[in-house]
Amino acid sequence: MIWIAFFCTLAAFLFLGLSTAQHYQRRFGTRPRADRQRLLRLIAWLLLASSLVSAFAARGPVFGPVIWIGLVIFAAASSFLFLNFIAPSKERKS
Amino acid sequence: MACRDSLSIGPRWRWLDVTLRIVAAVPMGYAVASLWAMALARMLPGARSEATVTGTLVAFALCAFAAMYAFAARSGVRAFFVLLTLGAIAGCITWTSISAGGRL
Amino acid sequence: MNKGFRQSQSTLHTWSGLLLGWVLFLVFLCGTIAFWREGLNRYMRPELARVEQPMTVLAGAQAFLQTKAPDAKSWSITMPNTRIPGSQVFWQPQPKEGEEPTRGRRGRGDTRALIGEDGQVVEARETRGGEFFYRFHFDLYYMPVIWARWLVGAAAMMMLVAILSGIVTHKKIFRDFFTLRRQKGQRSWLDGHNASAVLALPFHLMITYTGLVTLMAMLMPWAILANYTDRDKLSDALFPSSAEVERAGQPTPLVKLTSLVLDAERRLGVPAGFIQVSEPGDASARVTVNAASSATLSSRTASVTYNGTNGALVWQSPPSGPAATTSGVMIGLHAGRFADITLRWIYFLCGAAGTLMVASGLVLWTVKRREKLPDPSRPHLGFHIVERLNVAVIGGFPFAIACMFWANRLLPVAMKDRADWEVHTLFIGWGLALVFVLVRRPALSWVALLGATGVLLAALPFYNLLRFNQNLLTPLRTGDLLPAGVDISLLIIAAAFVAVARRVASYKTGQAKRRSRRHADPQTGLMLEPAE
Repeated sequence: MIWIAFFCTLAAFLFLGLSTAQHYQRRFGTRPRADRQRLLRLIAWLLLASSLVSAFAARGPVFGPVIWIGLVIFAAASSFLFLNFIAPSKERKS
Repeated sequence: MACRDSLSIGPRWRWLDVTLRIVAAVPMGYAVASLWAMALARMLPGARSEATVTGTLVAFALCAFAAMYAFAARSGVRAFFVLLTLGAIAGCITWTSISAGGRL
Repeated sequence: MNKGFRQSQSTLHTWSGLLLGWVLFLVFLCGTIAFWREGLNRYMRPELARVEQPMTVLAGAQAFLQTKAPDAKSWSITMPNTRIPGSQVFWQPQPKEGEEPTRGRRGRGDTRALIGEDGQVVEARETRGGEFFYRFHFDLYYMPVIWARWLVGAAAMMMLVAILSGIVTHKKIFRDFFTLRRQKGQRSWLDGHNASAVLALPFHLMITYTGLVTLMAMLMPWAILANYTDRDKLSDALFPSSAEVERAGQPTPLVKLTSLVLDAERRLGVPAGFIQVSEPGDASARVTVNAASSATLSSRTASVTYNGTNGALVWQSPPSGPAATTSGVMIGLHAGRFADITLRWIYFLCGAAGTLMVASGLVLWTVKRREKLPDPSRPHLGFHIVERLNVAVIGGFPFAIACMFWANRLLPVAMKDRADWEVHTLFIGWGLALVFVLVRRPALSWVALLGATGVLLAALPFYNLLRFNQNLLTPLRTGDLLPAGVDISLLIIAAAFVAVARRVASYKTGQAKRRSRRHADPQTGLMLEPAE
C-alpha cells in the first residue's frame, strides 16, 4: 500500500514538471498547448490525492501524513534532479 | 535598503530608520511575543498547564512575524510604535489578570 | 504583494540568514549527522557486537546493578535493541545526610556503565560516538551550555525569519519550482539555493520551528512565569509520574525485571524503552517502565509503574491534554526517533538539503557582491570576512569531522580521556584549516579543504577493512549491515567532496586563464564576460 503512495507521488511530480513549458519542450520538442498543460496538472493533482489516501491507509492517521510529506519531498527532489540532470535521448545523441 | 516610503528619506535619516526597524524586530519583537505568551497563558480557558504550553508554542511564530513586520512597515517609526502598542496591550491584559489573582 | 514589501523581505532574508549563517551551518550539519547517532555509536565502537537478545542484556544489567549498587536510591536502564550498542545503565547513590537529592541527573562516569550483548559490562574504546554530534548541535563545545543554547536559539529564530521572508520574497515559487539554469553564474547559485530550500520546504519549516520548541522552557519562559510560582507543578502536570515513596529500610529482593518488562509491553502495546527502579532491594521499591520513543510520534511516552517486590501494577500514565500532546509531537518530529530506516534516510537527505541551503546561501552572498565590487582584487572588509569565514566553516568543519573519525580509529584504546581527545582532534583540525584559510587565497583553500575531506573520508573504509580483519562478505555472514552501510555512505560522500573540489579547481583555472588572456590583449579591448 505504501508503494502505491510512493509511485503515485513520484508520477505526480514528474507530471507537474513536464507541465512546465521548459521541460515539456526539452522532452517533446514543442511548447505545450494550454489545455495539455492543464491536463497534465490535473492528472498530477489526482495522483497526489490518491497517494495521500494510500499513505493514510498504509500507516494510519498519525504516521500517514508524516510519511506522505516525506514521500512528497522525495518525489519533488527526484523529479527535479531527473528533469534537470538526465538529458533526453535526443540531446544525448547529439 | 528599500522599504517603501523610506526610499524618499535622505541618507542621514535612513540610518535612524534602519536602527528603529532593527530595534523593533529584535528586542521589541521578542518582548511583544513574550508578553502575548503571558497574556494567552493567563486568558486561555482550560487547564493551567495547557494554556501555558499553548502561549509558549504560539510565541515563536509571533516573534518571527514581528520581525517581518518591522521591515515591511512603511517606516521605522511606524514599526516601532505599532509594536510598542501591541506589547502594551498584552502587558495590560497580563497585569490585570495577575492582579485579579487566580492561576498563579 | 507589491514591490516594496517584497524588497523589504528580501533585505531581511539576506541579513537574517547571513549574520549567524555559519552557526546555522554547524547546527544543520551536526544535526543531520545526529539522525544516525545510534548507528555511529556502534560504528565508533567497532569492538562491540550487535545486540541480538535484548532480554539477556536486561537480565545482565539487573545482575550487574545488584552487585555494583544494591543500595542505590535509583537505577536507570535503557532497553537494548539491535540498533544501539548495548544497555546504558546508571544509578543514583543514596543522598548523604542533609544533601538534597538531585532530580533527573544523567549520572557521571563513576555511576554509569554499558552492558553489552552477552549481559556483561562492555570493554570498548572510550568515545562519545554519535552523541557528540547530537549534543554539539545545541550545546556546542568549550562553552557553558546556557550560552550555547541561547546562541543556537537565536540562530534558529533567525533561520525561521529567513525561511518565512524567503518564501515571501520568492516571486515565482511555483512556476520556477523545477527551474535550474546551469553555468549562468549568480543565477545558477540562486537556482541551486532555491531548489535546496523549496524542495524540502516542509522539512525546513518543521525542523526550525520544532527546534525552537525543544528549547522553549529556556527561550520563552514567560508564560510559565505568568502562571506558576512553583515550576515543579508544571513539570508534574506535563510529565506525570507515580507518587514518590519513602525508603522503608526493609531489605526485600527485587522481582525479575524481564517479567515486568514483558507485562508492560503487553499493556502499553509498544516495546519498552527505559526502565527506572527507585529504592531497589527495599520493601518500597517501585519499577517504572517507559514506552520506547521509537514507538510513538510524541516524545512524551506512556509509562506504567509496578510494585518492585511483587510485580503488582501501581500506576499508569494518564493521557495528556491537546497542548501538551502538540508540544510532545513537535519535539518528537524534531528528534525523529519514531522514524524507521526509510523515513530516517528521508530525514537525513532533507537535513543534507538544509545544510546545502545554508551553505549555498552564504556563498551566493559573496558571488552576488563580487560582481558589484569596484576593484575585485581589493574587496571591502565585510566581503573579506564573509568570504574567508565561508571557506573556514563550510570547507573547514567537514574536514575537522573527518579528522575526528580518524582519531576515533587511531588514538590508543587505553589513552586517558580518550573520548575528550577525539573531540580535541576535531577542533585542532579545524584550527589548522583556519590557519590555512587565513594565509592562502580562498580559491586554493576551497579546493584543498574539500579535496582533503574527500580523501580522508574515502580512506576510512579501507582502513577498517584492513585493521579489523574483515572481508567484504563479513556483513552478509553476521547479518550486521550497519558498519558496511556507514562505510559505503562515507565512500559516496567522499566522492561528492572530491567531485566538488575538482569542479571548483577547474572553474578557477578557467577563470584564471580568462583573466590572463584579458591581460595579454589589452589593446583589443576584448571585454570578456566576467564569469562570477
